[in-house]
This record gives sequence, structure tokens and C-alpha cells, in this order.
Amino acid sequence: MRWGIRGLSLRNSERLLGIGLLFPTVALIVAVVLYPMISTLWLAFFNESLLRPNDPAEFVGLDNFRRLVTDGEFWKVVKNSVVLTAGAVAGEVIIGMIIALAVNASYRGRGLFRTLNILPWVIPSFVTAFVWVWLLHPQFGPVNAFLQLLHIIDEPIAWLSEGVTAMISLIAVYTWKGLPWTFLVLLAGLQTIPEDWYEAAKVDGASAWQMFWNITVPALRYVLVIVLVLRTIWTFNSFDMVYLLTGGGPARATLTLPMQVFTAGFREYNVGMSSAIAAVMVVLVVLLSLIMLRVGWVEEESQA
Amino acid sequence: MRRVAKVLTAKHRPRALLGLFLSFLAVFPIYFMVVGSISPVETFLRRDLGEILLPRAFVGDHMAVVAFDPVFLRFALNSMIVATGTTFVSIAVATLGAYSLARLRFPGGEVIGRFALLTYTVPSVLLLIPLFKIVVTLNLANNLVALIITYTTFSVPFCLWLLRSYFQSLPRDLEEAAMVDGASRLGALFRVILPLSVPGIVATALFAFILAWNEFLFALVFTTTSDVKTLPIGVSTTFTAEQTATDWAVAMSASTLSAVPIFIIVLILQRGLVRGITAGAVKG
Repeated sequence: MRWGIRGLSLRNSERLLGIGLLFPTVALIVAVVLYPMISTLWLAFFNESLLRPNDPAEFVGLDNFRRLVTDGEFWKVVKNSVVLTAGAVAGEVIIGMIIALAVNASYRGRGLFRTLNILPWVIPSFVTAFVWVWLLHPQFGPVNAFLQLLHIIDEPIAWLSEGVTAMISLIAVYTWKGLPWTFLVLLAGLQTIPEDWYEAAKVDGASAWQMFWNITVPALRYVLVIVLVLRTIWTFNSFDMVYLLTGGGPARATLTLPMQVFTAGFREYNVGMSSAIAAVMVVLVVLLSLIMLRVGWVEEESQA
Repeated sequence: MRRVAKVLTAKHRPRALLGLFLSFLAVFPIYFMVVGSISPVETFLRRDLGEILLPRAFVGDHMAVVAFDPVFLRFALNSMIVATGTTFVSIAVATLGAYSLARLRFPGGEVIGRFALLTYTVPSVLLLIPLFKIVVTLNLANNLVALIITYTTFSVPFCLWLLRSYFQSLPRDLEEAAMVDGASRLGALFRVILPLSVPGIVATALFAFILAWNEFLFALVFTTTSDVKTLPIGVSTTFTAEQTATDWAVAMSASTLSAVPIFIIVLILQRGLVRGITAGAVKG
């Protein structure tokens, strides 16, 4: 241990350097993430207007939360968020799994294929929203034209102007945008499963369906849990495409929690309410991830 | 062996076709956007699906309208400043932090690393009001610097994790050899590790750039006048005022041009992009 500087042992000087190099990162995260996060949870117990920043905030205890719980509209917003998230994540995982199984081990132009398919995930969300508003346009949109061509619908549908079809459209667009990521992660998981396992199962006369449930799904358990947790959290937290595609409308039919946090804070200037809704969101996000991680772990124990 | 491979391919052909069909669905909206920006508007008013798939005529009018619009160029410049600034700050801070987490042992390092990953799942709306107050206090409202500061909230944790796993993939012998030759740990980092990490750092930087380029919510709250708006806010408030077909063609042109840097990055990164994305990249 001769390399220590100024009489410090190597161990100690490495520790100091480690802390020193990490310090800017930690300081930044504390200042722009941790402090604001705690601050929001704190502000949820106060009544304060963003328009009068100099007025002292008034402590109101659980009043903001009480108002939320007794407000029927708020529960509709929670329901919208859950429906959108569940619909989009289910769509992504099911379709993503189908494509991943289809292209695994057999597809030739894989490089180009993957590169092109990544585009929906990386283009700006405002671009996604623009294109889909046009695709779904009642008069000129190709979606209606295509569905009418196939005689699935007789009359053009004003997708984004009716409550139910607006929600379906949002789910479809979120599925479309999230699919590349889900697909790539599932495919990466599939490629770690040894081909021998399937060969052995085939020798034993297993059907494709049996192989899927008894080999693929158990082997992908961790990957599936990660995909479900992350996609659920990201979709649940997503603000921009709801804002751009429907603005929460028509008649609040697609209003989600992040939209509501924004509206309460920056349209109604109600700091307390906005923070309280954000606090509820955090609780729901934590609960959702705990449930899903627990499901993954319990299965792990029963398998062992 | 070759015969086996051939049989497999033949058997898997229907599945490959399904894959192709679904990837067509994935790419079609983007194709539609690009075609929409260079087609005569009549194409779309006729609702002729064949013509949308294989356009017969191209016009440059709508593209030109956007590309020579000083307002659009201002948005693009602002986006470029903010995305570049965010990338530089994040990489500078996160490279040091990631190296520390990957190589140096000290109490609490592991816990801090995990916490940094968790901050990547924090909803941006949760930070909105306190960040707004900070920005107003620092007198940075309606200023591009406010965006760079607030974008580090997602960019730094993201870079930290990509770079940490990159440093972990480098053999430890590299620094040890340099240190045996008399270099200090810090010297080894700057003269040996960082030059070797250029590919990983560049890939991470490009990811950070994509995140910042696409960001919508903070830009919506922290910028109000068009001289400081970035593309997502600027284009979505400026180019959809009317609902005529010509306006839509112009909107498609603006969308296409706004996505050009992303297309370029996708082409540069290719395989690296897929690897980075499966490592938990680019938040949706």
C-alpha cells in the first residue's frame, strides 16, 4: 500500500476520491430532485396560491386530501389513469411478445428491422401526437379510410371527440409509442433462453403453447416483471401525449392524474391541490411497483 | 448444419412475415408524416390509400415554408442550445459520479447508486411546483438556462446508470497497470479510462440529447415567449392554429424537420441504440 498520497493509506485516499467524484452528482440530485420531491409532499398540507407567492402558506392539514377523496370527479381521473395505463401496458406486452416470438432466431434483416422499429420510441412525443391527430382525422385520416375500405365501419368516426373512442385512441397511440422498447427488451430476454430447452420439449412431444407457458414465460419472469413495472410507471406518469392529443377531453373523459397535477397548479394556481394530487400519484406508483415486484418474488420462492 | 438452418427458415417464414407486417404498422405513421410533408395536399383530401402509400407527386412548398420560417428556426436553435447544454452538464457530472460508483469503494456508495436509479422513475409532474419556485427565485423564468437546470433532473440519473455499467464493463487491469507505473487514481481516470470510454460516453451523450430534445412538460411550464420556446412547445402552439389541409401539410413538415436530429442519431448509433435502450434507456 505504497501509493497513498500525503500519508493517507490507499484505502482512505480512494474513499476520499470516491466521495469527491460522486459529490457533484449527489449535490445536483438533492437540489433538483430530492428537495423538490419532499417539498411537494410537504406543500400538499398547505393552502397556497401560485399567483401570490409572498402570502404566507396556510397549514390546512389533510383538507386537500379530504377534498380529493370526496370529489367524485377525482375518482374518475384516477380511473382514467388506470384504464389508460392498463390498456397500453397490456397492449404493448401482448403485441411485443408476439413480435418478439415471431422474429426471434429466424429473422434475417434484423439490424435494419430493429433500427426502423425503434423510431416510434425515440421521436419527440409532440411529433407522435401531431401525426396521430392527422391519422385519426374524422374526414381525411387514413385510419377511417382504411376501416371503411374493409367495411369495419360505415361512417367516419370522430375518434378524439367521443369519450370512449378518445380513450381507445390514446391507448392505441401509447401502445404504438411504447411497443419498440417493450419488444426489444422482451426479445433480448428471449435470446438468453437456450435453444436446447425447446428441442428437449419437442422430443417429449410438447405443443408450441405448452412450450410457451412452461419454458418461455418462466424463463422470462424477471424480464416481464421489469417490463411491466417500468412501462406501468412511465405510462402512468406520462403527461405530454394526453395533453396534446385530447387535452383531457372531451368533457374530462381522458383526464389523467399528471394532467390534473398540471391543471391544478398552472391553470388554477392551487399549489396545495396540485401537490396533493401529485402525492396520491406517488403512492399509487409505489403501490403498483410493489405489487408487481411482489408477484415476481413470490413466484420465485414457489419455484425454488 | 446448413440444411437444418434452411428447414428452420422455411418453417419460420410465416412468423417472419408477421414480424414484417407488425413492423410496417410501427413505421407507417412515421412514413405517413414524411410523405405528408412532401405531397400535394390534394393527395390527402382524396383519401386515396394507395396514393398515400405510393405517392405520385412531390412538392417542396410546405417544407420550404417551415425551413425558411425564422420563428421555426428560432425554436430549432433554442432546442439545440438546451439539448446540447443539458448533455454537456449531465455528461460532465455523471462521468465522475459513474466512475466513482463503478470503481471506488466507500460507505454508502451502493445505497446512493440505487437511489439515483430510483430518481429515474420519479414523475416529472411531482417536481413541477418546487422547481417553478426555484426557477422564479433564481430569476430564470422564461430563460433557456432554466430548462437546462431542470432537464438534469432526468438526464443526470440516466447518464449515471448508463456510464456506470459502461465503466464496469472495462477491465480493472487498465487502471492498475497505470497505477503501478506511478499514475495516481485520478491520473489513470483521465489518461487511461476516459480516452478508452469515448464510444460509451458519446453513445450516452446522444441518448441524453434525445431526452432533452424531446422534453415537453418543463418547457411548457418554464417558457412563455416564442423567443425562448423549444421545438416541442413552439411547433405545437404555432403550427396548428387552423385545421385546413395546407396547415396540416405544414405541420407535418415541421414535425419531420423537428425529428431530423433524432433520425440522424438513430443512424449513427444503430446497434448501440438497441443496446442502450434495452439497458433502460430513453424514458417514454
